[in-house]
Amino acid sequence: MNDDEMIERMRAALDEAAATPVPSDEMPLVTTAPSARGRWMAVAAAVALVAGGVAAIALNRGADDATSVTAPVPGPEVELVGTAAIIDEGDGPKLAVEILASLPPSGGVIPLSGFDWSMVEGEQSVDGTTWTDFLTINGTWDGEVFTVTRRPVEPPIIDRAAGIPTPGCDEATATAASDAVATLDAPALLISGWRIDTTDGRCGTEVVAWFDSAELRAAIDGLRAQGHDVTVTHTFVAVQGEQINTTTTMPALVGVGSWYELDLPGFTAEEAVYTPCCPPTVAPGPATVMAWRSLEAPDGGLLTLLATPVLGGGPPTLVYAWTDMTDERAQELQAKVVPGAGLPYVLDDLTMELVGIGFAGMGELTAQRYTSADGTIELRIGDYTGQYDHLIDAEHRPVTVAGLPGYVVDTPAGPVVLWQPASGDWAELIISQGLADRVDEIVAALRTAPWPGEFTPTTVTVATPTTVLPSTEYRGNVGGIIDSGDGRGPMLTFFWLDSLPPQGGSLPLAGFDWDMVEGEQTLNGVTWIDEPLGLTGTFDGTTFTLTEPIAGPFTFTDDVLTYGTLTAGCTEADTAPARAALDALDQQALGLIESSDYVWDGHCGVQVYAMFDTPELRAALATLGDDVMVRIAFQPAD
Amino acid sequence: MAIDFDTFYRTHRADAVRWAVALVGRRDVAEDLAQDALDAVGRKLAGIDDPAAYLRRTVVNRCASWHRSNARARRREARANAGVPTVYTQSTDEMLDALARLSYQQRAAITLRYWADWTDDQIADALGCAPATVRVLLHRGIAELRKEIER
Repeated sequence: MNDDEMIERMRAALDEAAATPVPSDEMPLVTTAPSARGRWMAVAAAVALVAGGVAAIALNRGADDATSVTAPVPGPEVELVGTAAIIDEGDGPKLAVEILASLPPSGGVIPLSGFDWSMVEGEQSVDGTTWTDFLTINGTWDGEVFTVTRRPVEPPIIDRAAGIPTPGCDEATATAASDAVATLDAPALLISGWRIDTTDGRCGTEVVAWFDSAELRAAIDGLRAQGHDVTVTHTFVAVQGEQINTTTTMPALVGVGSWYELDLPGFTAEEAVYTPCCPPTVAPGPATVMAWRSLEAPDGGLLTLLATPVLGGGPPTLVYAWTDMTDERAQELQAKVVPGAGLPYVLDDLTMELVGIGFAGMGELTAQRYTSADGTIELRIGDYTGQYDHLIDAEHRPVTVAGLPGYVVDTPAGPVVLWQPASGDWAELIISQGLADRVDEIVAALRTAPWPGEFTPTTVTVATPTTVLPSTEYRGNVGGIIDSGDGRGPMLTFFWLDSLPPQGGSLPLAGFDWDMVEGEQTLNGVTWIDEPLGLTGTFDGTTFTLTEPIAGPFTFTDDVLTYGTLTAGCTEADTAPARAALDALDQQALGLIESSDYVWDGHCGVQVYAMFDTPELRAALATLGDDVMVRIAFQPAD
Repeated sequence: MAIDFDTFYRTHRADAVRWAVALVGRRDVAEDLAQDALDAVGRKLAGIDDPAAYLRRTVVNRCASWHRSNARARRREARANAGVPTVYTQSTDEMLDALARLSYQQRAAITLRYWADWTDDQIADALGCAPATVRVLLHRGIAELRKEIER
């Protein structure tokens, strides 16, 4: 093959790539309420799916009414997301895909419920017609009415422009395809419109449909079989991804990224250790962490979000933290955080940029420790798992690390240096307190270096769901109860985030009424009581149901499940292996409420606070060694 | 004469997507990256002398960023979807696979020159190098591509 032939072959391959939509079997699809992680991925897939112009959503049969729909529809239990405008021409709000450019405009097609104009901003009204720009809209579709399930948000997730037309075709060919599309029963197939796109010697016909359906696919396939170049863009696609199963093991994925070495006399480098990520988790899945930083000034503010999914589904618990900004500004920004289309959440504020996203405590990590007579330095590089949280409520200052911007944060355990390497990973230097006065020297001694080597893939054991018998009555203490006014109802809270109103809530609570307690407070639609309460009830894996009136906190004499030997004469650094093993556990699946180092009177280890005592918890904690102290929140009432 | 965003968008969108396809080899990704680049350039139209050149640079940079992050993103997706039967896009075309194994600069030079019909000067401007360097990239890139194809 000579050069010309190779280039010609390359052109043909790229021509095909340019015309090839996303393979439909690439999309994970869906019917049941997923974990937060499942939703995130599935929504991302939905966006890609629209971009590719081909959908692969499993659909059910719908109504027969041709004026509304004869095509199969997803069914009212499936949440959809898509891009449309909302227009009310005097007969109620409707979705519009194609708006006629008149004044006032027209084009509303599918009637809406669950919507009122207070849910959107910037709508316009002329001569009795009110309309919005194109928005991202979530909802369900029963074949007649689209029920809005979330506040519509900007910007639209779908690019309304056409895909790439086929190279080399002429307008007459495209017109023939368009004429063929015109023979289809557009209302019955829920085709919103179609258009010819001719640019630069290329042309094609794009069909815009409300939903995917077997009938639509068959119709379009029929046109393609006749040689017509027709692509389809679906306006609404399913949001939710199906969490089909979990596996018990997964191969480790070997990381490659930016790496550094510390060129500092007196320090000995240990072997770099690679920790794979992440085992599949059981419902409700891991918490998502996100961070946004102000664009207005180098240190104009940082807002972080911990979105913890709730057992049994429903909106996650959102906990915000911030630094370098006023509380008023933080609350103003929180009000602008909305569920995203391609991301879990979007902060709809042009002065803030998303700087970190990942899963809390769950990420690929490669670490290397340097030791000296004065202390240790640990270099940690991996996924974002909430590293920006170091900055919250801690003294910090900007620093340049190997030419990149970062921070030095003073923590009680010692300084932490945080920065983002060129690879997009997240890097930290965990410096022990004994070296605190040498931070700048340590940072200056950091050099970029080749990746430390190939690590042997390993297998990670996946935590299984906790076993808690629904019929067993449990008794335990919580830190309070909160109803955040977001529709989830009252939630048990073990720990509070200190804001006003406070944030918390980790387990749905049934059989509860505010008359059962005294001293609750209400502010901005949030009602809470933040004092220790003793609860008795059952747990079905999703909800704690009260079986007795709420009492004061119980006193347990045996709430410490395991009191290990707690090594004497050790330092906090000695807890690192147990702490790393603890971090590797699926803490949520095991029902862990909190875990931390434990250093007291020259003894140390890790302590764990868990909701229930289960065989799975005991088995998992047994892997941590002896220096583990466990407290259990709920114990069998008998 | 300054142009409005709508005109700019309509004029350049198809080309931007085509360029991005050349650089990443996938239409779905290319559409997203082109959209991103168009938005970024569109916001600055009033202050840009040559929007088309600026768009070329932006598309090339966006695609370079995508290549840098793609490997990690793929691993993250793999992890997040572990347990879910998901098929990842792996090109079945050996030419696209071979292009993917070239350095980004070589790939950009070859595909933008021979498929997107950019001039050497335009490629040099977008890659931030001299036109002579583009010619070297083309020469070496073709040789590398042949090696990859014949491997």
